[in-house]
Amino acid sequence: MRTTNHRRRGAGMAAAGMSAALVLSACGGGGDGGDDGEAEAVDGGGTVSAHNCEPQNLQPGNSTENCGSRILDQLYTGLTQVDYSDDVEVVPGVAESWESDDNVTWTLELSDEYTFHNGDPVDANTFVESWNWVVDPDNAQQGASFFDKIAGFQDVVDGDADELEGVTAVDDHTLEIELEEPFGQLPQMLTYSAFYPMPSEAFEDMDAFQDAPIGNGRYEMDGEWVRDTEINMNRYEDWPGEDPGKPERIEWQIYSDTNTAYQDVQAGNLDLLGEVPPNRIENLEDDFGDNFERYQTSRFVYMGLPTYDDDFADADMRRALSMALDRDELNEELFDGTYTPARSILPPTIPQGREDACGENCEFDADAAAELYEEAGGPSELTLWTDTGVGNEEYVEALANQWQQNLGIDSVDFEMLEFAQYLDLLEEEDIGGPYRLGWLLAYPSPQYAMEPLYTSGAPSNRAGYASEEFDSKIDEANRADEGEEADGLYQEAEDILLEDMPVIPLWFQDYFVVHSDRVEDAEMDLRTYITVDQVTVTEE
Amino acid sequence: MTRYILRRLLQFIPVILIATFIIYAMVFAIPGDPIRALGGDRPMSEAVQQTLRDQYNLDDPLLIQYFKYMAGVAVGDFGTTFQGRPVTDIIVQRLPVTLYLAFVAVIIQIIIGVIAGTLAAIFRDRFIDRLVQVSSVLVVAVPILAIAFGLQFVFGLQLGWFPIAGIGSGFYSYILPGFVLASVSTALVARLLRNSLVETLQSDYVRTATAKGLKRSRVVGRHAMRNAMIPVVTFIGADLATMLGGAILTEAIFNLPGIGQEVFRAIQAQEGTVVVGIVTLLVLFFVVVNLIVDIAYAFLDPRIRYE
Repeated sequence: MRTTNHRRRGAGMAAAGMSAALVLSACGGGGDGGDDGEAEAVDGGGTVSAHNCEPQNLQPGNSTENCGSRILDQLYTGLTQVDYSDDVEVVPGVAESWESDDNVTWTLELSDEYTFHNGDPVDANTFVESWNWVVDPDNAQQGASFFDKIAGFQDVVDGDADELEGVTAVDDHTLEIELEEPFGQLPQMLTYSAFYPMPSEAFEDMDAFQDAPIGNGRYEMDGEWVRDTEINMNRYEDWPGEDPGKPERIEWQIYSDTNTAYQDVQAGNLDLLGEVPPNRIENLEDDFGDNFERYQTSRFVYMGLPTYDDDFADADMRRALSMALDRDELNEELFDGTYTPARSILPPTIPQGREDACGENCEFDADAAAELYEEAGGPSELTLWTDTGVGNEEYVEALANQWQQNLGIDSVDFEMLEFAQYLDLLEEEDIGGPYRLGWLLAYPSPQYAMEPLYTSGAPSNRAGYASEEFDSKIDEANRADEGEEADGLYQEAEDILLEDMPVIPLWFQDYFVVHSDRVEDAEMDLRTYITVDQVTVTEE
Repeated sequence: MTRYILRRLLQFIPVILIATFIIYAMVFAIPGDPIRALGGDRPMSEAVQQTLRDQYNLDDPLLIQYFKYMAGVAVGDFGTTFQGRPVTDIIVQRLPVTLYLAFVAVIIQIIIGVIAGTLAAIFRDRFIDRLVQVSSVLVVAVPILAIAFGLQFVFGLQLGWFPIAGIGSGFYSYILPGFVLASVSTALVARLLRNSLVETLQSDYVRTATAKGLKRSRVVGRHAMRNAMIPVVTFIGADLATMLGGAILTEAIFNLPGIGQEVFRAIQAQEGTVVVGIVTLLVLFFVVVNLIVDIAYAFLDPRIRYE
């Protein structure tokens, strides 16, 4: 985690308001997350207990939230995986290698060593069967839309075909994927949980299957998912990958309140918690000494602007709103400096991310902002929109204060809505002012940080942003081979966004991990998942 | 007596029909599309959303939805969550937790509340009476949240006598949350009983009993208490019923997978079937407990007769 660690240090420096000791221990721990690094693991690997929230479900094709995905991450191995510990690179999973001449037709060679926890082999047909089941509209899987780049997806959705035309098992260990359009980021996308293989028995009764999902991952279920209570898993000794799980057993304890979990870690009843409640952050040093660490993630929080509204149609006006925000001060004032102010769209935690891609458009300059705002004829009244939730109202109000102060806006109103209602209005383009939203990367590709949110007519394009220049740049980047060329094109696309400002980057949310005395080497990846499988348990 | 009970049981039917309809209508009226919210920031495709809407009859008008739901209930199908989990499963898993918690809380309430109230009444205006009065005011005044975190911090974290969270240690797991849930009611029971008993102790029949030379303990225990307990029994009965549904906070803080938390989650997710299923059960509890309380009156006070 060398690169990330470096960035983390940078973030610590910026956070001047935090106590020096906190900054030191947050950075000084180094990439290994341990204190002296040379911890001796107990025989066999030991048992680690980790906090989790109650999953919505444990079905690979249906899980689109973190509580479920963290569990599935340990139970399943996809065709490809991401090595989050180093350069956030795609590495082989079930697929040993993959190639494509045109980024349209992909051929993946599968390993013959992977088996499901019930002994069934995992072969090319497994993937064909699993994916066809997930996209079948009758099965109502939430992750189905991730397959929309595969040829024949729309036919299946419309009921004109039963199976994805673009997925074929050439032989037991060769899988061929044909796409609608060239897409160089396919290997990244295939790391996502919607693409995991499932054994045939899953399709007979998915609701029963998810009580104890049978996967092909590092860990296998021990017993059933006890709702709202616990999920236990043991290391699957036949997992053929390079870095099998270190602990022998993971016991996920399900909590409804992170404050309770926090106290349980303090009391030594729980080993790992990755979601320290915000009100506890200032006590971390007292409560945990060295047993905590700060991580940057890909969690991006922004104010979207309804570009379909006449008041927000002018890019100069949108830039003025961005320049009128003092992100560092907001971070200090609202979060004691524990977030990372965002001056980019791509999270700096992925290799393509640049910390200050935005330049002067995200630099606080009250005078220039006021001038630009007036020239662009920005409205003298604003309504800010947010969903209700922990702290949301508070920071939306803080933003409003700065806009009022710096742009000479007369009055600011607030619309605070329950999440479901909020989404309805966003979907119907019925929002009349800046609105708060967040985005977390499902797979670490710059494509996923932008395409679903900002291309014309994309499902999550709440801003109603439509730019031919941006669309064609994304298209070009998607066509390019993965690597430097594509990276550069995605960054150019990002530059267009930062010039047009359909959304105002606010910050990337940092997470704090706390752990008990008996575990070491706990790390958190940019998805906000603790690498539970790689921790060292030092005491029975 | 039997006729009285039968008549009361028949009255349950309209009560439950009206209650379920009101609840269903209220969940229906919450603005926002629950299926869309299910996907959160990442929208589901139209086809998936439509399948789910059809599955849960969400496109039907309120009355049709309600009748479809009740038709299912009539044959024992209480519906499922949006994730396909049967509501009956949820109830079977969670109800014991909540019942256990309520049971522990009521026991605490009865033991401590009744002892404190009785002592306070017997030693009226003496030190023990003042102590009960002051401490009960204190307990009622301090927010329940503070009591919960306080007990958790001292007895769970510092002393380590009780588990902080979860139900893994059986009976021990329920002691702290039981105290939290019982705290306010215990104080109220103590005050209620004290006042009621003080009044009863001054009544003629108690003085008669004392004049006849009965032992003090028999006068208080056998004659005065039975009368003085009537308002207390009413209170505990009503309180037990609210505990079943209203333990949301306690359940959340101590991470007990009970009914209260699930109702809270289901309301937020607008899962009408779950809310109605559980709340119907709670309404049923409420009326049954009320019936039992009413019957208990007859035993406590011979003057009360039911026809």
